[in-house]
Amino acid sequence: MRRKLKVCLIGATGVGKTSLVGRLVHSVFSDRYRTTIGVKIETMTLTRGDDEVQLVIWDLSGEDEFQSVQPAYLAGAAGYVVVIDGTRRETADTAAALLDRMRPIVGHVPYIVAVNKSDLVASWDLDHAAIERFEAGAAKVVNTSARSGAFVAEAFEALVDAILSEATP
Amino acid sequence: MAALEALREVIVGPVHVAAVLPDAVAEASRRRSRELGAALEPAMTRAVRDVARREPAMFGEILAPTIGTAVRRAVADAVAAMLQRLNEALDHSFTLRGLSWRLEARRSGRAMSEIVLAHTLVYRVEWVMLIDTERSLMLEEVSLPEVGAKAPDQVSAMLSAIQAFVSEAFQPTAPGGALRTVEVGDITLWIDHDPQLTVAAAVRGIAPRELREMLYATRQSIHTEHASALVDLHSSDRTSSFAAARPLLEDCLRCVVKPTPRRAQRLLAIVGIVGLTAAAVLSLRACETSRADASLQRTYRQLLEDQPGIAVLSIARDDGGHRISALVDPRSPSLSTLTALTHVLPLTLETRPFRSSDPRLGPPLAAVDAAIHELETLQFEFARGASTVAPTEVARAAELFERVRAASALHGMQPCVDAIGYSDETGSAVRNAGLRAQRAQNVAEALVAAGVPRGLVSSRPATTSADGTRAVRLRASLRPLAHVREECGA
Repeated sequence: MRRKLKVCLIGATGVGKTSLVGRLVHSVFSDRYRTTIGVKIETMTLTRGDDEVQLVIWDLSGEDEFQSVQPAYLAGAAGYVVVIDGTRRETADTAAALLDRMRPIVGHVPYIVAVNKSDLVASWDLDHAAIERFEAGAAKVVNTSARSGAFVAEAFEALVDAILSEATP
Repeated sequence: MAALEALREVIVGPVHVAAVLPDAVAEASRRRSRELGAALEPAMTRAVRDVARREPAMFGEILAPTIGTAVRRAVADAVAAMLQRLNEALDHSFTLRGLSWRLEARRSGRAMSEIVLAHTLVYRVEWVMLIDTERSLMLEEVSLPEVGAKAPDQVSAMLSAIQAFVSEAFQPTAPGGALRTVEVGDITLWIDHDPQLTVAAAVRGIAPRELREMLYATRQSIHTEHASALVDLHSSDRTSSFAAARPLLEDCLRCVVKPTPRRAQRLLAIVGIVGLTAAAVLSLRACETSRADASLQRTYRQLLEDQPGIAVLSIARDDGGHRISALVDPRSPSLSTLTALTHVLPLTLETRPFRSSDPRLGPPLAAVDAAIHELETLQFEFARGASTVAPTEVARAAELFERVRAASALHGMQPCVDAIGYSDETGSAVRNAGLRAQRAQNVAEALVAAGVPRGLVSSRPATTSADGTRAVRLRASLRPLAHVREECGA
């Protein structure tokens, strides 16, 4: 069966949302940082069992003190990825705040938490307690690295699986 | 009986019915909604009609929100159409094309805006998309073959993103705040949507406002004809069930081209007719000019050749006048008159001297004249209908020619002989004309065969057969030695 799913990436500014999408869709990574203004949209196809899933990925601009995620962008999303920067503890707090703000808007759709920049072990700033609060609500919490590509595809596959399992009666 | 009546009052009395009516209607609506609707419709219709008549103000108040929105939208569309025309008119006001259109408007007496619209009402609906409004996913899309859609899912998502951006950034306060038009260059996206479906069309050029109605009708048709697919759409994430809606979307694709070729053909036809008329007029004028010129040349020739000692070689048009080339005997009394004429008339005269045998110029040179006289007296006789030349006469003619030539050479002159053919009047005019030409030609050929230089002999038929002679006569003239070939060979 062929399906189309809208999924969104949300998180604090500079956590690597665009890099994750770039790694997933184009298999590339760039050290050069460019902030996303508004939203970037990419598409890609995943195969899950008998299903061919077309992902329409909304890479939303990051949340910080100057700009906030526009709730309207999340309307109709089948699921979303909350991205945290493992080297910056405060991005976990931003993610938690975003979740609180967004869940009334998007409803109870599946989401995963991607703890990004797992390749920067020396600068790691998160302990288990910081992550633990997401484990109850998230379909999965995954350590990812857009730079190396580690667990990037797996993270999105986990989200798609969660969406499909919710959709199946 | 009284007990039965009391029981009936309990079961079907107003109090009991009122108690169960809401639940009964709800249950009937759930189980037999169609039958319930059919049963209630007459009563409801009558009731609504009565209320509308009795309480029009209240009825208007009820409908106001709906009608108000519809009217607002209609008025907005009409104003937008007017502004669209105005903008187009202004855009083209100060261009070269605008100026030509302005001239056209003045010529035709039509309003400038109408002219602009007539010229610019060309559009192409290139791409029509059916989008799931809530999830901004492309459900189906069709495009013109030469266009080809690109990344439809990203387009549908971005469209939704743009709308979200505008809503979030500018917080529109008007009701029904949704993106309806996006314009970039000559591309306009026309968007018609409801909470479930969005129909968007990419239009190149300037589309009429009716296109919006068309998109609306398409969306409504999809709702009607694909209701089950819509239900299915929101019960799962499947998006392939709208392929059947493609024909409805394809109906919106169109390419409206202004009928330039037909106008161009008409223009070409008009230009062609005008051109042909002009050519005919010019040609007629040229013919008339040519005829007048020929008549004038004939007059010149006749006047000059009537003068003694003048032989015209040629007359041609030259720089608004005529150039006359002639042989002139120095003894001719008309020479001074002729020279004077060139100062009065647009004439250029080229003269060369020659010796004329015209008797009006005085007594001829005795030996030459005598020989010419003998030559011209000679007559080639023919049997009826024949054109064979007698050899004896040819030999005599050749001998006489030689005498003329020898005598005239002493004066720097040389004779030219013209053989003129005659016939009687028996037979048809055509046959006689041919006979005269043939006899003259045979004599000329015979003379050449007898030794007369070909360049000094010519032949021609007499113009009529009035004198009834079946003969060829010779006419001799003297020309300066240098010009004999040119004159006699002509």
